[in-house]
Amino acid sequence: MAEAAIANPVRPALDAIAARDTSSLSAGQRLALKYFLVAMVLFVAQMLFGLLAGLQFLYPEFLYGVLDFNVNRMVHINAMIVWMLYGFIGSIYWLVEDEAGVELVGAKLANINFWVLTSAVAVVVVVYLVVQVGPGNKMSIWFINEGREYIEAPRWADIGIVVCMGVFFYTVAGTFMKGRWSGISGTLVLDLIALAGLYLAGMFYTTNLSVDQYWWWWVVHLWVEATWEVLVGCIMAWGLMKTLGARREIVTTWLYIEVAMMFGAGILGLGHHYFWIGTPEYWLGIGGFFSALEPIPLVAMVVHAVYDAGRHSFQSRNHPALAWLIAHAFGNFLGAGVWGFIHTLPQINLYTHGTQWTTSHGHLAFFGAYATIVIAFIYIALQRWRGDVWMSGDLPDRGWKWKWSLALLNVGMLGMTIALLIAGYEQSFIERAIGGSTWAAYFEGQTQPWFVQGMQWRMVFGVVMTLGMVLLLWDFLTIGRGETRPAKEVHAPGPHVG
Amino acid sequence: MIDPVELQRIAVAALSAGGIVLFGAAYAICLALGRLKGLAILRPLSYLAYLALVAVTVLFAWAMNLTGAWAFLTLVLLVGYFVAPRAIWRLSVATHGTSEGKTMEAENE
Amino acid sequence: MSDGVWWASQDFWRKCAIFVTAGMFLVLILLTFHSLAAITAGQDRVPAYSVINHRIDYVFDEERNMKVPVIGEEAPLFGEVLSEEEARALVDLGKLTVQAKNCMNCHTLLGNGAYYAPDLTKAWLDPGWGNEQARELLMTMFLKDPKTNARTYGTNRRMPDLGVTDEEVRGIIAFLKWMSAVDTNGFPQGFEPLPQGGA
Repeated sequence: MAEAAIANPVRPALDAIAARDTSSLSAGQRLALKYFLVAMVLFVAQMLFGLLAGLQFLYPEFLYGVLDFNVNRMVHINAMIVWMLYGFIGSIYWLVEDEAGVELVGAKLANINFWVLTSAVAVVVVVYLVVQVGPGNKMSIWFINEGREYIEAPRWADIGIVVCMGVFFYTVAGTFMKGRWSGISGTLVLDLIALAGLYLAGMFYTTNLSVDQYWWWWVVHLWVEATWEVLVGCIMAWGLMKTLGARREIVTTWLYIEVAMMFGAGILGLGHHYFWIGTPEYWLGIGGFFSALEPIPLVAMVVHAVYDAGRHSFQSRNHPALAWLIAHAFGNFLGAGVWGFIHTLPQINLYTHGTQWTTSHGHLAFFGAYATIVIAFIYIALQRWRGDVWMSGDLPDRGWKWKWSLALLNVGMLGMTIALLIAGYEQSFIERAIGGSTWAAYFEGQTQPWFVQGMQWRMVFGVVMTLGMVLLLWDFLTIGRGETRPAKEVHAPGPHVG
Repeated sequence: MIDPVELQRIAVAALSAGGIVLFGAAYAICLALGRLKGLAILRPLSYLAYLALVAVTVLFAWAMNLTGAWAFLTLVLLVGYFVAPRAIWRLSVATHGTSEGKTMEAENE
Repeated sequence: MSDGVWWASQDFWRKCAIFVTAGMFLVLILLTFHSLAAITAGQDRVPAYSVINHRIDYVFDEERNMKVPVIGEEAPLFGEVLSEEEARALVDLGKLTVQAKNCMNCHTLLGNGAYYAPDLTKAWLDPGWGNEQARELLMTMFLKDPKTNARTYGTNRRMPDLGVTDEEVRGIIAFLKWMSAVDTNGFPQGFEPLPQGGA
């Protein structure tokens, strides 16, 4: 049994990668699979470099001078941003033809675009790992790395990304224009414009660090706390119609409600990043107030989720996807809602800013809000690819792989988050509150038993997560293969209303 | 102007903040489930959850030193967490109800 | 479809989404104009680059209920008074070096970045340098050879040798000095700078 389990994954894995059996898929869907594949490769890279960086907290000599913490950490967070973007792009290519009712416009161009973008990503990563740092001049910023957290990609790559996003946008918007528009696609296209536009705010150099960080947060915050949320809202709206047979007019109305609430609180919620970067004092009030509002819609939406689930006896045609959508709801609520709110007011953020507290929040929020959705969507795509097969209850082997990977990934993430929060609390207390944030106080905090143990437990749970990831990839490669039962019927809505 | 949290109240401030969101969710769930399933027991439970929310909000306001203009935030939180779930319930009924109420009802049971 | 109440209609919420987004964004843009004017170098919140010619202190302000940077008498960096343009060029070199060496993925600047190494917001004023007389030399030695002159306080977490040139070192130190004079609304709280003045 054990032997079979070990030998088993290799064969189907190779089969799956070599498989050319995508004839049943549309051009957009075939492209989507490629994006998902790269997304998963980058997910592995994210985990790997996260593990290395985590180990360096425990063993600072580990890879010192070879792959230093700053390199590992940069690859860790960049791989995350890029794999999530790949996941979103893949999801959009997956749904665009279905939603527009016509074939993908510029499919050939879109394909070339994929290869250009992916090659650029590969070159950037190789330069990160091999060249690492450069001399203090503009050349380094243009060709090695920009040295600004999350948007480290060198300027040439920034321009490349914008061009590729332009091509992506052209194919998607062009498809909708040729076919038909809907509320979801309209929202999606407008959101993509905002997403690309905001990236431009991070593409310049200035000596003034306060001005630098002011615009830098436009990219980082207005991406992850505004435009990404809406993007995910659009993808999820489509996903809910397809997996649960939710009705279009209801889903669309709620998408608008979500946009109103999300942007209503989230745009000025940007202010919570403007507390301490040199910007005027009024940001303490604006940022504090609006970010305190941010969890309220999240909580209120619980009512709609309960109502929706209770009123409609939804039939799930894809259990793993549904489970990941539920993980999304919980993860987003805890990561963005609870973990965000506990340190968002300036009164407490004064101590927690720039500590492991932020790390804790960042991990759970990114995972809960975005990783979960991309994984859910990949399950939806795989089901279709494998021939619209059965993915409800009663899977072979009781679906242990998807269940265990779900459990390990979520338990691992929650465990890491709690460990980091404990370390962060200790750090903010010893270093910030008592020690006044001097260098001596910093190291004092880093050596306290609670901090060190927090870092150890983070490592343990990181390994748990990695196991979950391995299992998840194995499941991706095998689920639905050899399945003969057709997918469960759910009352599918008409393709288009109004 | 802000009055930073006092050293020994950092934990209280953070935990009460987490409590607000969690009790807010508990209140919302009790409210929604109670109305949906017509379970009478959930109604008092939802009020109990809201009372707990009020308690942690007061604690939160004290620990975070929400005085002066910041007291307004306390009020917004108390009103917001009470009203928003009710508003969303009404919206849920109104958006789902009219166009599909009858058919769904029939399919449900 | 829309036989329901107006406030639950798709049309109403589409308009809401558009107006709320546009409205909030407009407010953000207005605030951005104001904030950018306030954080231009040389305005009240962010100092001119020639601030590196002066002593910088961090003092409690009763009225604002927080510590604020105070620019004092002349105390030129490396004993050399620079013009505004020369100072800007030096700070600029420092900022470029800080970016090119990817400092932000270990350290935090104004509290943003990674948490593997100390915050640099007030690094110039850190009491760890001992006193004003030793500071410039110690900082230079540390940046030139961080392996040998490691300041790990027993953690063994050393900064790697990033190959910075002499001129880049001067730039980094100028950048750090300039940054310590940015008005950060009292962050970090309770920070006690190294002893000021005296001989």
